[in-house]
Amino acid sequence: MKKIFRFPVAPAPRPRAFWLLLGFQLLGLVLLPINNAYGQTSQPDNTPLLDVDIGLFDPNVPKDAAKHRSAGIQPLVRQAESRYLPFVLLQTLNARGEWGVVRVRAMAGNQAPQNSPAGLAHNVTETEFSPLLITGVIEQSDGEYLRLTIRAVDSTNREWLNQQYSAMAVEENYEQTKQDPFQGLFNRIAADLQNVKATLSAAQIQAINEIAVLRYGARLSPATFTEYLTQDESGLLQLTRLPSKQDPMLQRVLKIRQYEYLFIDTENDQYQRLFTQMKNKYTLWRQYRREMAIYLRQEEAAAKDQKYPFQRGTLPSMKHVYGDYVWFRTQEQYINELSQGFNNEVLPTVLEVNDSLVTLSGDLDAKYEQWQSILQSLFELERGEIAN
Amino acid sequence: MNPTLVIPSNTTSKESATTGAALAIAVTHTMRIFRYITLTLMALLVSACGQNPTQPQPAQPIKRVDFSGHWELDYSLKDGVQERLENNFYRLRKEAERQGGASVRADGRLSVGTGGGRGLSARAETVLAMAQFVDEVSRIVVMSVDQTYNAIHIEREETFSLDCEYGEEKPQTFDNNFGQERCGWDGDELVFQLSLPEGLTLLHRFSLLSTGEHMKVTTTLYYDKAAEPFSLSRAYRRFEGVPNPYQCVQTLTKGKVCTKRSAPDEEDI
Repeated sequence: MKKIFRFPVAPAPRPRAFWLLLGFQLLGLVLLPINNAYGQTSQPDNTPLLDVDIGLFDPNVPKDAAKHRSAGIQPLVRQAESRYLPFVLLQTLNARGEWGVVRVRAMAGNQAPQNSPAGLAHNVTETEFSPLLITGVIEQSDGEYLRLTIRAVDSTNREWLNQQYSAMAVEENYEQTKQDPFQGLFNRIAADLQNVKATLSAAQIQAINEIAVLRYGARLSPATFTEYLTQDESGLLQLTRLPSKQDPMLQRVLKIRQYEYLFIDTENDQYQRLFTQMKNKYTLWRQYRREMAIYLRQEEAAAKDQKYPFQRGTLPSMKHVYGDYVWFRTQEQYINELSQGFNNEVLPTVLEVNDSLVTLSGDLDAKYEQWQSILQSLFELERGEIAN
Repeated sequence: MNPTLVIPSNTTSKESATTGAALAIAVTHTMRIFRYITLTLMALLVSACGQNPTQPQPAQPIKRVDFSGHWELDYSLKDGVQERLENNFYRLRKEAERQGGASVRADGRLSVGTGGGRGLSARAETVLAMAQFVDEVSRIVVMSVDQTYNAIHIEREETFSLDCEYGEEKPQTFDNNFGQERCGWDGDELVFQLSLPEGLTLLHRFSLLSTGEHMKVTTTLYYDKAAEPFSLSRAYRRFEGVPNPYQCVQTLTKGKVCTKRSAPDEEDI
């Protein structure tokens, strides 16, 4: 049972410190046991585990709505997919048991301090703080083909992956109801990640975890934490030294990070709910969509090669040409109807999840501002004490 | 309706006899075909557009008009297919006169000279084919229009709907293997252009008449081998859709799911 710690409301020796402490109390910080400041639970071979954050995928919907038709994109379906597909990757990584905690989260929550110092501090705070962050762009998704651009970067800025993955689903893939029709694609991503991880030493993985913590700290208090990091010529971050595990500022940062994880876990619960509710309908949609795509392609190929059987300029010729077009547009409308059906069933859940995430995100944004302000004040206070 | 196509002529050249006969056959043939076309001809007579759709036209400042609502074909207005055909044949006859002379036969039908007679005969058949085609594709009885500031969806009975996203005020283009669609505003008229294989281009031009209770849809067919396009307009009258006692929602897993609308709450009355 997690214990909620509340700072004692007592007269503080210094009014300023009192208000700062009170601030922490008002923030409702949840104190969780911090067994290991930097590392995660180790695997049997003593290699530290690495936590993974998966950002919601970029739905890649053109801003110009006129292009949606040509590209065969149904924007609302894409929005739902951008939340669904990362969860398939999460499940794939979890199933392999090679990683620490895997989370899906919205990228918008990656706030940086508004007044980031220039130089290294800027690089440290403006970029991601996850031990390993995976982002994705949906390039194509029509039930028959899935094409994703996947990028994975760790906290040292080392790029693990940056490539396109594509797969084609056949009828048999849809008959396997227990797994995603494109499970093979996600397995490949997981295998590639594992391959990169296998090239790293335990010390390197440990450094990734440590730098992730320091970068998180740098987001909240850049002046305190950027001094522990340097950046080499290739842009990779390296440790210069580590703060003591008993460093009060580090302890505070770790507590805040734990608190943020509670938010992210709540966020994950929402994505899990969406995933569960959407799974059957989305699979059905993809199956229909695939069948339509194949059918359309075959007909289009036949139309391309065909010689019109009627004399040009005659009524039968005109009707034949127009009839082909009517057929095509009718099929297109059928796909749109399917899409509408999918939206009608899934959209309420998507909106509900979005609403709760907006609330969560709003809460988190407000908390960040408070945390940054409080930590900055504490930092100045502590430096002042040392100076005195 | 049995239209009689008689193209008047003042020319009496004997040389025109052969090709004139050919054109007369063509014209008679067209008449026969027209006997079998039951034209539910409820349209306005419109002027034939001589413009090529691919030629740049002076840009009209965009003035978005609201077409939203239900529209039904206005049967009270006369169809103009016959008049349109007569106009086309009149111009064809004039051309025949210029090329080889023409004469009026005893039965009142046209006889034209040999110069280009066969070509003219074929052209007459093309004009007729275009007329029949335009008549068929524009024979839409009911339309429902959903419109926002940026987009329009025109549901047409028994054929595909017309959709246009005109948010950026430039023509929207939609290519596929069967043709190319373009749509956008031309002044206060909404234009859908469909380019098809075999040299065909179909244009639908929607405009609202001043009262707002009538909508005019002009359908024009351009054919690259035809000297001029063929146009036909139809008028539509606004009507109130019949209230549907059921509220239906399309779903993926169960198809269309309908529920009975609840009766108006007495407290609201």
